[in-house]
Amino acid sequence: MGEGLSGLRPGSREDFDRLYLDSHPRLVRTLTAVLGDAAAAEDCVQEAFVRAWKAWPRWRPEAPVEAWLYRIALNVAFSHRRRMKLRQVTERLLRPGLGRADPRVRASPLRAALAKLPPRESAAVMLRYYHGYSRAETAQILGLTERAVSLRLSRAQAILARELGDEWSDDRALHPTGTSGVIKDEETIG
Amino acid sequence: MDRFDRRLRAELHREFDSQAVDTPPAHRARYGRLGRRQPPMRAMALVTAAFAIGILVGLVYEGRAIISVGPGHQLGALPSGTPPAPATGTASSPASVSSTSPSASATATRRPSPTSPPGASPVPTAARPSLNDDFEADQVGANPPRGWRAGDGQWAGVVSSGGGHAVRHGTAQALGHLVTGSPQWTDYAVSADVRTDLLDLGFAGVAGRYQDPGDDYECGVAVGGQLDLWVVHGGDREVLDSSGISLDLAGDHNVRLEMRGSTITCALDGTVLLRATDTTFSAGSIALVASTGEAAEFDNVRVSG
Repeated sequence: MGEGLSGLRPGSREDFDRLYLDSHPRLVRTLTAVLGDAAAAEDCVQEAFVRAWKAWPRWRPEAPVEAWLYRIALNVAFSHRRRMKLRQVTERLLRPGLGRADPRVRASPLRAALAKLPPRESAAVMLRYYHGYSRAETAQILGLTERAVSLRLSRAQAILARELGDEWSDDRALHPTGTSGVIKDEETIG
Repeated sequence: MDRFDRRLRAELHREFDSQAVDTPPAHRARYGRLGRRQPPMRAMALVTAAFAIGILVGLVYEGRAIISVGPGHQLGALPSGTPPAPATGTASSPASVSSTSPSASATATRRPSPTSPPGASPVPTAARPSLNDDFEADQVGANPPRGWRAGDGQWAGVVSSGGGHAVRHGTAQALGHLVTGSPQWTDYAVSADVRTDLLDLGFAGVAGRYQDPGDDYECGVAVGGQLDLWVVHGGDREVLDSSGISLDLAGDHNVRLEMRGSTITCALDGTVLLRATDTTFSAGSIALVASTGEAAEFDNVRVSG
């Protein structure tokens, strides 16, 4: 959570605006990783804040406010990605060739690798490794058990290592021997 | 932390910290860009509702009344997707009134009266999916309520709420399933009134074809006002369908999960909003479910085959 976000009052417009200004950029970056599209991420974050504003009078100060926001925003993002996938399938059936990515536009290797992860895997990676949430906090935000979060992170690691192997070839740790199992260094993050 | 984790963390910060984000003025956060598109949608909804009311009025005048409005009468016709009421007298229960009113989606459902409906039974039968439980027969503090068991997590048990009894999951309690029914139940609907304005972060709802805490179908309301339909398999939660719209979480809502063969539907206040096809589970008992740290109250649990 941002440094200046203490003493927030449910229902207070001024406090909601502070929360918005503080959290908006981080939410957009997280959803960009999940959706692979910065414009879609901005739209989803906007919708998430509209929803959060409606629920703001009922937010209780003992609930971690940024985790609450992430939960709302990720729900919006997962729904958006599912709708886009359905639309792409329909468009490809109706007009083959339409809706494919422009080959001249090249995402960075890391963003391209994240785009290959299922949405909950990329969300788990961002929450855990970018924001530094603990495994328990990540599980709570994603509505998963801690074990399920560990498995998703483990699968994500394996995919990222495979996709980024050439780019990060100077690092031998990028080539783990196994693709299953749980993270061993739980206590070092969050 | 191993080298891969360190490198990943550093690369994520390098990649995303430099992403320029244009934060629109704060008032957009409260009212959104979607505001421009809402009036036409509202107008369409009003036109649709007017047509529906016109058709109903027309049918009534033609002598084929499907709604009787006298004191003590119920809606005479069920909306599509609503199964017939079980033969245990639930037609007179408050829950059946709320669940048969499509217009109830925007309003809170009512609390039950303290008296149990005739024929209400908290003890499920193995032969045919059937259950009515409003927890009025349980003493406040009963944990778990009679006929139920905690599949996992902790529950606060029966509490006094809104002039009656309800079962509560508390803020300090882990993800929990409160289970009853028969593992042999196959095709049925399970519903409950869920007090959703208590939600902080997670979700609350009902589960069907429950095998264990990590394997079942779940229909529930999530924070942000979203109705979700999940299949949970091996502890992994996958969304089968999601409302993608913001629901009004004020008050109580009736959440209903129905499983017929491979068709799974999830309804809010009598209106089916979510639908999916899935064959992961074919039979199982039912559960009330609330996520970690969520305060949620459940009442008027109904199962009908």
